[in-house]
Amino acid sequence: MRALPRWVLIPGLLGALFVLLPLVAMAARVEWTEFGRLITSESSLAALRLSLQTSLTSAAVCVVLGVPLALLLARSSFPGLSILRSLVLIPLVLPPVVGGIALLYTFGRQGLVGRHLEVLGVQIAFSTTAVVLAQTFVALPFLVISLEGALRTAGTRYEAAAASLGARPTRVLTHVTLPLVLPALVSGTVLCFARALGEFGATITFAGSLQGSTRTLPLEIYLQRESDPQAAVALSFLLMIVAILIIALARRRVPA
Amino acid sequence: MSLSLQAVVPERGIEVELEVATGETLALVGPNGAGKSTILSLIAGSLRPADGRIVLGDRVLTATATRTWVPPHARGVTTLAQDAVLFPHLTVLGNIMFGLRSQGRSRAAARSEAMRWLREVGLSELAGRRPAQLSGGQAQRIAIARALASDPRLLLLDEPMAALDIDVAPALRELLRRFLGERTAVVASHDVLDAVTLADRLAVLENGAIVEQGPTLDVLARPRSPFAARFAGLNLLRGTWDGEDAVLPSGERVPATCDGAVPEGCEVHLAVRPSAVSILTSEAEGAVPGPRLRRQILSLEPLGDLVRVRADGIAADVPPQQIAQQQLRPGRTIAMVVTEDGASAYPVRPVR
Amino acid sequence: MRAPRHRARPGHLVRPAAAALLGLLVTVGASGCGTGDVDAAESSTLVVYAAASLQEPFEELGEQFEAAHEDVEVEFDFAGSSTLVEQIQQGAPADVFASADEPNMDTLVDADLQAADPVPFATNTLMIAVPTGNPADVTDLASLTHDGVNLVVCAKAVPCGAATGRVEESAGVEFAPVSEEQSVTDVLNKVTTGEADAGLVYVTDVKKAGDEVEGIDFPESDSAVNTYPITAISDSAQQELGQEFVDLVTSESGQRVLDGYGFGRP
Repeated sequence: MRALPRWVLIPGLLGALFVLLPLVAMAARVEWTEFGRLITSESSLAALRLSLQTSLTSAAVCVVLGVPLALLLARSSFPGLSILRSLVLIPLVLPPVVGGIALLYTFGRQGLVGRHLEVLGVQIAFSTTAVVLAQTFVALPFLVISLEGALRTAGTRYEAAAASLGARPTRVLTHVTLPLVLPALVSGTVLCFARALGEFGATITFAGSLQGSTRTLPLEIYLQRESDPQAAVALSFLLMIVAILIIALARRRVPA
Repeated sequence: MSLSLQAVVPERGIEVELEVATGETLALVGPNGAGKSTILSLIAGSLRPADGRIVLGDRVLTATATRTWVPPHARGVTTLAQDAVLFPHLTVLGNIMFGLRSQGRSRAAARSEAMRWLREVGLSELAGRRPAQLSGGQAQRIAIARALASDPRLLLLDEPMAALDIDVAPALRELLRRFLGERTAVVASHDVLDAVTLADRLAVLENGAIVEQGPTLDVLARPRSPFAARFAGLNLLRGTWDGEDAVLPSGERVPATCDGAVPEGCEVHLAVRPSAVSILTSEAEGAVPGPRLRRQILSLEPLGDLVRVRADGIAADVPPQQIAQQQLRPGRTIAMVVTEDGASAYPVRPVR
Repeated sequence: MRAPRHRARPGHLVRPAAAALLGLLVTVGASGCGTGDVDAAESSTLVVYAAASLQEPFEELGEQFEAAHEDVEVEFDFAGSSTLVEQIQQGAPADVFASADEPNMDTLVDADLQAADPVPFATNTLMIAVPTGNPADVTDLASLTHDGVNLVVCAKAVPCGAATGRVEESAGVEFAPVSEEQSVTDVLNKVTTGEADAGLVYVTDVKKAGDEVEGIDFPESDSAVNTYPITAISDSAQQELGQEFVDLVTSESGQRVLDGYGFGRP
């Protein structure tokens, strides 16, 4: 700390202020006397419930798909690996609306995959599944990126030692590899959940918006802005509180 | 469980053949980069040879001809590395139980077996500790217990003592000596003590090939490669046997003992103990009998309580006082005299 | 009181400054000679905030306006009416506001930002839009409630959703949409991509979408006629110019332009 030049303090504090001030400004706009009523309206509760439910599901899907993907990226070598590594991170930089459009052309009724699902009687568009798909799409890179980094840092020495003691590959994975990267797995999953919770663009483009089935909290906030800006502010504040709780939880579980 | 290995790894310049008999411990010695670790990797199954065949007991582990490949976990080969590599998320006991559980032993059986091994290495009281709470020597002891508990058919030791403090290494070496007794094992090391205490046989590896091998004491007493001589702490010269002395290519003579029948005119290796070489400066020369080797001093190196005086092709160990008295320093010309029982001559090729 | 606004654009930055300097000189030189029009030499920019559905006809009208007014440039900001009202309330530099519905104009009037009473200048009615080929065989409002018809409408909170509600009421049907979208554009997108079998959008949207959708008229649309009001903004420094634009929109030639894009007359 003592080695830092003093001038760093000023842009540093400005940076913190830049992030915190809008949050304070929003909190200042909340009509506290109405707050309870605004966030407990039927549509708000439905949106909150749907958001929590879909975000948890998305985080679980991220784990199921992201852990094997991170393992492939960190532990295997095949032609095109480095290209694949860059490609799976695309949702990080893509505007979510573009992600939504891409999902539409994949899982929509006339999409690449959706066309065949439609024949089987499975319709993803306008369903809660579509919300989970949209959220998973944007959240997955967070898990993959944090887990792949941890796997690389952990190295293969422990895995080689385990195999040398007679452990089969699956046992090495479950008893050595994953426990070693558990902190990164936890923080990656929390990040996924948080990203899913805040997902808006891909959801509204791909899943639609209907109370109870596809209208998550961010969509509800955006809609309430049209008719009841006070409710939108109150819900925004609620979303912010949930986000802060998640970040605090992740920080506590994973010491730096 | 005998091991037979024949392998070629072109990208690492390896082309070796070696055999380890059942119950035997082979020490693999050689300079850094000679390929010791590569050979261990081939046996452990973390590296595939371009061409080769590795057989352990009656089981083919690797055979490029038949495309046979047994994955590392199924080989029954356990490696004990330089670092203990204990799993940080498991307790000491959990670490030792790991191999046993992996082989399908019940939790209870694995636990009691692990406890037994913990007692064997004398660290029962550490059962509940995490690896991060152990000293380097303790961790390596646990690693030994963990490796042996899995009861491998072949144990590989890769510089097992290299990362340890000098004061804990002897106890650990003794522990290993006790456990390796009847086991088949391969120890890669560049420490002559490891070889002498642990190994029945020694194979010297240079530039990816085995340059000599044989019973440990034989190789150390009669080295036939520069590395083995250095390893054994001997001067290695080459000459012809004239029935009494070894004659160097320069015509200089060195008296030596020679057991067995070495015909006159035969090429011989000449191993000379540096402590059996005395150094004369011109004033004292007349008093000492025997042929002299005239050399210029190349360097002086401290060596315990002696000083090693290096000259071209031969070195002498003398007490520091002598350095001062005789004013020995690099560049000075000296005469070196080898006492007869300090040098032994033997055929260039071992007699079968 | 706000300062006169100038849109900062590269190349135009110098002009306001030069004009201000020139104005100062003229004022000094003309002192005692009565009031001179110091801004006469300056080109001005008229900023029109208009509902997104008005984009095409208003751009055409803007060109007409520029042709008739040398030295005037018309700039548009097209967005949802509620967003625009909010921005104007926050001090956005609008000279004219054209709303897609009356409630949003009422919000503006409540804030006393209108320069004159808002004038209705166009109407729009709902129409059923179906993907080309009409895969779900939609014929009228009642068929929208059939099982297996993926209907998408606007959310009640936005104007097109309110209109949809009025249509439902007068027709005595109850829709079970698969999605209630944020805007009429979103509804139309769901129809053009084939995700939805039908959507309720404005006549003008169907017209704009061209071949990508088919429009189906229904008699109950009369019960939800959406009226577009327009007004100049009181905060504006060029109210007169703004009023001239309002006059153009409500004039016969302006109305003809709006006709061409499917709008009705009030």
